[in-house]
Amino acid sequence: MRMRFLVLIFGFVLAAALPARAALDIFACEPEWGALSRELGGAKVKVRDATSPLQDPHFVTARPSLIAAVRKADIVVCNGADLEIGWLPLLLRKSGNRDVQPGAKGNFLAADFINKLEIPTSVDRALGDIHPQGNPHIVGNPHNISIVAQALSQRFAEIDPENSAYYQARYQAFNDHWQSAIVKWETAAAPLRGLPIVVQHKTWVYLTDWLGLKVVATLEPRPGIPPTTSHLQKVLNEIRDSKPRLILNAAYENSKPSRWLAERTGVPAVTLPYTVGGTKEADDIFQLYEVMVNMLLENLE
Amino acid sequence: MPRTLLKVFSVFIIFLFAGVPLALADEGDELSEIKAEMQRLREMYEEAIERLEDRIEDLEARPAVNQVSQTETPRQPEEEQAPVSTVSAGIAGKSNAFNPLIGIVFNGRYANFKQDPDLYKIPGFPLFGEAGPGPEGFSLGETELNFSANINDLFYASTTIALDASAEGVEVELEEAFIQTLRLPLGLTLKAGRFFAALGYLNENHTHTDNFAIRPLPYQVFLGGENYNDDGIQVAMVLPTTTYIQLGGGIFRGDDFPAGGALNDGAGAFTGFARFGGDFGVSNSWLAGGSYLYAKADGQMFGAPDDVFPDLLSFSGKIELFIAHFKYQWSPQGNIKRRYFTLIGEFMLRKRDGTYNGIAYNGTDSGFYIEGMYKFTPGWRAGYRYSQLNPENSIAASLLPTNLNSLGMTPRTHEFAIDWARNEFSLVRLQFTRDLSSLVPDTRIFLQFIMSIGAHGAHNF
Repeated sequence: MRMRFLVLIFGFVLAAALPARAALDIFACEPEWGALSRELGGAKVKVRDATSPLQDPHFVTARPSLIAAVRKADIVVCNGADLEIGWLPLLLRKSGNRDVQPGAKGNFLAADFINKLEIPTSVDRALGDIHPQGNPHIVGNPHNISIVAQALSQRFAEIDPENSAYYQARYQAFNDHWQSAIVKWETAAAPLRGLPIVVQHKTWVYLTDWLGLKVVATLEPRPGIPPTTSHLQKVLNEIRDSKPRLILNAAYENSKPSRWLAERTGVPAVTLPYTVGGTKEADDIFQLYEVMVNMLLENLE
Repeated sequence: MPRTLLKVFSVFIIFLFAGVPLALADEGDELSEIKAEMQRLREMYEEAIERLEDRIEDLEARPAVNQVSQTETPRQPEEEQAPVSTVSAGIAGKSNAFNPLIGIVFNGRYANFKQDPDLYKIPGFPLFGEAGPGPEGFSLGETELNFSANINDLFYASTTIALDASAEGVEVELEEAFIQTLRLPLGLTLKAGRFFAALGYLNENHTHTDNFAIRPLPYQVFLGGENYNDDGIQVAMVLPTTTYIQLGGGIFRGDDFPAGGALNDGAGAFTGFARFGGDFGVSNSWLAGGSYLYAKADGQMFGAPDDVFPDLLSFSGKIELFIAHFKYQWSPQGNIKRRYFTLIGEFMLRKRDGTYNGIAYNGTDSGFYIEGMYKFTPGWRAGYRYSQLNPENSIAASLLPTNLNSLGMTPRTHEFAIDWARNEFSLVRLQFTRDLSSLVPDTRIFLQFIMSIGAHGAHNF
């Protein structure tokens, strides 16, 4: 009786442990990489986003459902540059999935392919939440997406060689579309070049670098430390001369500090989606930049 | 500084270039030729140095970050192939990426009790080792040193050394020192060494991650106040299911409370566990589990000879511990930075079969705690915890004069905590405890700080 029960349990475990591969199972740490994976993988992939667009990607609980999702994944597609340092290493270790451990083919970190900005010359936590590898918010610049897309498409083909022609074709189509979209956005965004702006967190360096926006103040006194009223007052005094035209914050951030400053200066506070799904309109990776460029332009009056 | 270096370098270059024609030079008019040549070279390099100096001044005027010119658009990746593993990509970053991640946790407190903590005892539950509310007044708790890194592509290692400062001096305790596999098939992981066994909820976590100043009553009496961290081996398997299912078990030396004496040739304790978890939508997560510990003890001593109440007890026999736990977390959009509520509960049931001071004992006791923690605004949390113990009331008459006698009491505590965190590296906590676990009720106040420098390991759910 007992033996039969054990055999049954063993059979169940084995059956559960050896699933037939249907589609490439992708665990995407942030929605932008999930969206890019869907563009490049099409019908051959199944994507699970670990974070919602309104979640601060620095702070995610390594909750059981995520461990289960990593366990099943053929590849984890994450931002890297230490953005997920607080949760991804734990998920990987707890999952017991050998295919996605650091160094394995199934471990893809987008920022590894990008030249980072704001690489600090020294690291001191008194300076706040500083990323030693550079600013991790690479999604701000669509040129970064071009680079990552190529690398990611190659990686899909390596892991799933049967469909490599499919991935190659999808990448070609995506890239053609993407390059022309970039030209369109850059043309539309030309009036933004040199425009003075205020940002809430150092989330936007790649976006401002791309569009030539000039950041004259950051609301957080130090990265990751929420601003106090007295600090905001100081910023308010400091920006009198530079006359910023926009105040930017991300959809996942508390917009209070931005609104505080907006009320006192009359400068419009703009909540950009930051990632795919951050606002309702930014529902795919093309729309993300479309929406951001349009929001910036609209708020210039 | 770089300017000085540049000058030294350029002088070196000039010598290098100037030295070649000098060596080949003959006498006479060749000399003037060489001189002219040198002059020309000097001018050329001085001009180049001036240009470089201008650029340095330019860069120095900008903020001390790596800025790339805004016109330089699509940046090509330096390497097209798979990047080198970022290892466990810690705060380490560049040059020391291959060194272990190092973290130090500081933990200090001020405690005020109405009753003398040295006389603290729970009727019916003899306390082992350092269980209890800890010292009164100012004290430095455990300072934890943690080192961890991937050994290679197959193994990960981590060690935590606790320095415990007390009146007797500094005690060094090796809390954890283990290796863990990274590349076993079928979702299997194997841990070996000394580590916090997968038992219940709190046992796998370091005390500095707890929501309250001391562990709840069931941990005080059933696990000795902290963790069951024995030497051994543990295997776990995560099933490839949408719902999180982890199954596993371990074999241990049997030398850490509640085990004792390393019986069965130093393989005297066993564990088994099953955990389940998942989400409801994006804002709700849950975890539930059951675990089991089988341990043996040989002459396990409770109480100290210098206690005011001489209740020295020695236990030999077997212990079985059954634990059920759950955790539920609600956080709008899963954004824990802004707001969340967690509810954690654990129930423990202990069976003992053996002898106390040579007198036969066979009893079952249990305990539970339930705690709620609410982060109401970034940085601030408030929480409440209730713990209770249910003693074994039928004991041999000859054991009645000992602390195994519960005196008909149901020990319990109410704890209220409020804490503030600047970020995840610093926490300051104020806690009030109404303790009804001892014969005389106690009111305790704790003011505690827990801060860390260096790498800060991710916390378990």
